[in-house]
Amino acid sequence: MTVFAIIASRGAPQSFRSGRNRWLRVVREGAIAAVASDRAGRSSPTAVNLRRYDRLLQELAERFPAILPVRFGTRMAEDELRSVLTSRRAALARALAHVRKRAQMTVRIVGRHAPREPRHTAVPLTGRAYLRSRARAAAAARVVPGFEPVRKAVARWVRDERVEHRAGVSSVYHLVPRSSADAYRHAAQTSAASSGLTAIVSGPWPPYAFAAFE
Amino acid sequence: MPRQKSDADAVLDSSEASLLDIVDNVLNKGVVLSGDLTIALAQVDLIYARLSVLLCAADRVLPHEDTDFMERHHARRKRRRQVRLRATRFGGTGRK
Repeated sequence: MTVFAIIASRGAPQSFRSGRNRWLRVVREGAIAAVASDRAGRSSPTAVNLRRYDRLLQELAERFPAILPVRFGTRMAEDELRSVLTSRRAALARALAHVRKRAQMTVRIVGRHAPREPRHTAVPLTGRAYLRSRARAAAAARVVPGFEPVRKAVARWVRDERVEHRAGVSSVYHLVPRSSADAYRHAAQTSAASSGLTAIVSGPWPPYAFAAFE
Repeated sequence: MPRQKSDADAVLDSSEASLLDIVDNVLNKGVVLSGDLTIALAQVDLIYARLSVLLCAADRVLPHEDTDFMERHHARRKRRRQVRLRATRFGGTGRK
């Protein structure tokens, strides 16, 4: 079966039809459930299929108060899925509670190169030194030159943040209350424009960037 | 002086921006389902399997495998071919 999202069991139906008339099943294991489809066949990651997948997840995000989007192309047997839900129950429940009634907003900033991480000249010899070096690296990874005014402008809505730097684009993902998405977008765009930052704000998205956990 | 437009600028300026978001979200983010499966019989664990599914952009799992990846791939193929050729000359199969 193809797995689309993890949701809380409570209040979820046994099965339902999506807006595109796809029959979806809710596989329950205690308080956690997965939204899946029994339809056979693999989806290749084409632009059309990716957009279709995202639309379905947007629809699920509107239907359920908390969802964790599952990586595109995840197919497993029902027994495997149940086993995964059971073995990861606690972590999934924590992640679901974290994203409940929240959405992801994405800000992409072009042309502001992230400062290079300082080169480690010496290997940390003690546990404390090692943890300090990890903390320094984590703090450095959050730095997006010129983004601080935007970060301050939207701080009141932000419940969590992830930052990535790839191929000349810095991406900042914020987890915000669903009801604040419009206010967030307006504040971020206004602040970016007034500080001369080339930033593209998108969302609300299902909380894709906050669904990954170890 | 105006900054020269990069590839990233070109993509983000166009309607492809939303597709970029979708690709990033759908292929690089989201839960990677994995679990531990232990098949037991009469309270004795017989089989342990780690279940995992992963599909994401190559630079996530192979951060250093960028431009020189194909060069190294060709070099490896060339080395293997030479080993096989040498082994054939000396009467072996060249395969381990």
